Amino acid sequence: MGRLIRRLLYFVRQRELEADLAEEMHFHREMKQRELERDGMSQAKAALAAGREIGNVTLAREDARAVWIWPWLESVWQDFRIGIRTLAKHPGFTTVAVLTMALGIGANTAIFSLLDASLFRVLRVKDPQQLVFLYDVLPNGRTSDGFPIQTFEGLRDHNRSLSGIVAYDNSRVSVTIDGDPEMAPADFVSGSYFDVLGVSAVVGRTFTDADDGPGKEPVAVISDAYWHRRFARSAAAVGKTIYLAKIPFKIIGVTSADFHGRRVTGSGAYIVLPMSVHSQLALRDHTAVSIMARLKPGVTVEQAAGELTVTYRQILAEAAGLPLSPQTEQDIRRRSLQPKSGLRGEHPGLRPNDTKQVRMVTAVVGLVLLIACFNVANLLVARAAARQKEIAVRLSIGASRRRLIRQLLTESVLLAVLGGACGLIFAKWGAEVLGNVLPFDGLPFDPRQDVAVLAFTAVVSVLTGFLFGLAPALTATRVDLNPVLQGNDGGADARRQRHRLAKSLVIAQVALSLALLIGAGLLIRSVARLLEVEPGFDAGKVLAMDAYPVLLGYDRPAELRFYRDVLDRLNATPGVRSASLSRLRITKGGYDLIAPRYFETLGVNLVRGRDFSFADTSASPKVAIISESTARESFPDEEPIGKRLPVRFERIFGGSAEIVGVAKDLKRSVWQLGGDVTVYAPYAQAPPEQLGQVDLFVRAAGDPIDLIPLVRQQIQSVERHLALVDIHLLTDEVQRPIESERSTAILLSCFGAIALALASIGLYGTMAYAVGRRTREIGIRVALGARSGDMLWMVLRETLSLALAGVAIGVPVALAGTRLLSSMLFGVASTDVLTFSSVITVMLTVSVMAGYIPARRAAHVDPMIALRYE
Amino acid sequence: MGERGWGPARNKKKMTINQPPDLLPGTLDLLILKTLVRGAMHGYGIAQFLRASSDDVLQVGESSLYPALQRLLLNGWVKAEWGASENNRRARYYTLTPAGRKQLASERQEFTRLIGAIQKILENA
Repeated sequence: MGRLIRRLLYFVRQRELEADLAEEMHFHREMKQRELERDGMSQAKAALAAGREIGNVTLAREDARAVWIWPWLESVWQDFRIGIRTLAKHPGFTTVAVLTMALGIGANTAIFSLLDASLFRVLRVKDPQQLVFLYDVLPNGRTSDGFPIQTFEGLRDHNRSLSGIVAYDNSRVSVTIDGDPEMAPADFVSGSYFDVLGVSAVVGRTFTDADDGPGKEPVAVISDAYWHRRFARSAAAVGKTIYLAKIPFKIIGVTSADFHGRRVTGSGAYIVLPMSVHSQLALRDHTAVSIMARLKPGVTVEQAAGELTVTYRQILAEAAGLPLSPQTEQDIRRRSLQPKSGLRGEHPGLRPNDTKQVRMVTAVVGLVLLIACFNVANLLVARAAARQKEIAVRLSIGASRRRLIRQLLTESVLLAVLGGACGLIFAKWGAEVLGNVLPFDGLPFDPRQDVAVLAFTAVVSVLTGFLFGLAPALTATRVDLNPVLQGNDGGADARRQRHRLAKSLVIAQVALSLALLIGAGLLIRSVARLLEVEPGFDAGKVLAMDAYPVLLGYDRPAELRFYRDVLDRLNATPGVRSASLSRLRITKGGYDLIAPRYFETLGVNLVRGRDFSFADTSASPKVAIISESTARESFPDEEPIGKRLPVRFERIFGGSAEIVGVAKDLKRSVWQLGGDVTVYAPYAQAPPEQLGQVDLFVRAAGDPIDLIPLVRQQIQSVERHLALVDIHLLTDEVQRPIESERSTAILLSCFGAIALALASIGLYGTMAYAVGRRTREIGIRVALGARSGDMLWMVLRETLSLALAGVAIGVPVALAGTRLLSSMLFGVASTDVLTFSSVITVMLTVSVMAGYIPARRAAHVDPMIALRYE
Repeated sequence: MGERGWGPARNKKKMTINQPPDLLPGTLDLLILKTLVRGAMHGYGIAQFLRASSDDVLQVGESSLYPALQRLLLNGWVKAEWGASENNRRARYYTLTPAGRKQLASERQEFTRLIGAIQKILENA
């Protein structure tokens, strides 16, 4: 081992070490020459003689180098060639092993490529290490990235550490292209955005400070993704006029495909707009901006933090107005500005809620790889038996055991590397599937470009090659030469040793796949329980969709008129039972603004009192409907109808209101434990800062899907620029919260199935090998009168005992593992007996099936042939 | 392999160790290890010492000395460090490692056995 490390170090420091050698040989020659001169030779003669005495220096240097490199390289090459030839000679074995490894390595590469994209990638803009995102540190220590636009202007005009600064905000906008309205994610950015990032357009141009200001022609830059989706990458897109909130904007350019805005992955904003149109187009509650800046060369983040905080406090003081009260002054002194590195973009890494799921899937693919390794190791053990003779011959003619082990390891590393190469294909496909299921921003992964992913796959391949190759290589080369060369198969000792190794590999496989399957089983049961939960309202025939009239520039009276018109039309549409709307999604309770017929549309009973009507307007007295839980909480033993709303609700209601009705509770989420404490107000009585956007609900008489075109047509006959967003069945929305549980369960089941398949192949292989090895023994037994049923049972018994040993180890492993899973489980204990017992049953059944084929072969052994065998 | 080096003509018969086949295999390595027992030495010093202590019989040329030293380095039997020579030149000094000491002991034993065997044959034959 020491030799290998020294050799590798020599490779790393080759240039330096060769220079050392040259220098010391030069020294040698000089000393020699001096010695000859001392003996009385002339200087020139001495130099010549010294040279002669020493010999050919270059050749000596070559020889010295050869000590380190040549014999080694040559033998590696030789191993490699032999390895390739051996693998090619056994195509069946090679295919199975390579595919198994491809599966294991591919799954891991897929996960790594997603993790790499989310965690390790660097923002693809000019000098990303100079970018910072600014955060406001509040007196209570929390941070916020929202600033008034004045703060941005103040920092822009008074700083010494920044070479550029940008204000930005993202919002959805309503965009109409060729008369076809839709919602699109947009960025509002100050004019210097593209300059500061150092990003230019691939077609047309980006905008600059000169385009950002009141009275300028409205311009927009679109992303490559949007260009592709809406314009099929036509060059004619540049110069085209699109409408945002009915205002015409000219498209002036398209950004490149690897520009994702301020994040390293994801689709980013479709449209980038100058900040000057922010107040006209963004949602009403978007009043703050975020700030990004580029540090001057040589300025550190700490220096910038110090300088910017001083300026920031001045800006805060000016905004508070002089003179400052002592309290305000103290608050300002406790606030600061914190620049965070933008090297990996804004909000790098995973969202905290997602890490659990990602960690679990990562652990699971690791397990699958381990199982794949065990499986290939098993194949290698079986094959070592077949190669007994070859190995014995090579040992007996003088090959060292070390050298043979190296040869065998080269073969397994070759297998793993081939597996890794095929795995890249699996990985590309797998990353797409996993990217949809896991909470990563979907990112097309290209193995030709992703050096990090390639390196990961290469390292994993080589390591797994060693992992599964080492034990089989060690046992295969530990042979007793004489019996093998005489035609026996390696002596009882080696045989027993090999079989013991194969057995433990199979047991490990059974144990690990059992643990995986139990995890999958628990998640499936949990999802089934989640799906059983009654939502508390009848979501079956209800269509839901979002509408954002405020993005079209509606003022309040126009907005209220619009809702009234839309609801009137929808309620008069044939095929519609009833239609209504609410401010919040159905999954959120507490306080909601709704339209008349809301409860009827959702299928929720109004227990007492009356529904809202269109007569409840801003001019009429304020009214409210409360849920049963609210009634029970605020008016125990009292009739709430006719009472005033409890004072604590007055602030959000903008005044006192009379309770006119009580509605049944909604079960808003499967995770909701207690009752649903909600109060409802008519949307027409909403305080002025609320509304702006609503969720529309339509209950169909027949199939709600058939109604979609009609609903769209009715709404657009009221407002042709209105984009309807996310038209879906309410059932889907109710089930959406359990999407991550469901996807994890499906994923785990797939991996569990793969593991089960690998384990059964392992069992089959081991037993087939055992039967082959004992043909003679079985023959003798049969000749002595054993019945074929006995032989069948003998093999099955051994298979079952292996599987049971695996189960015995697998159950505690599963118990330890599922404890980590318990926070993801709903209505199922992590020790659920039913799951454990059914998975164990499945495992044993599959084991028996895997053992049956070799067992039948054993049962049909012909003693005459078996005894003549060998 | 041809002849790669020779010394100036002297009246004494001498051996030039340039090609391993001239000596028993491993002998030069053994001699170098033995030389280094006395302490750290540079390549030239080792050559000088071998010549002096063999009464000028063994003349080790650079072309066999340095590959041998590299071999010893690779095996971890010696280590090399730069230091100042007696006349204040930069020179590379070799020292014996514990593994080298062990190797020396076992090789020496092996060598004695071999020489003994050869002697026996020469005397009896």
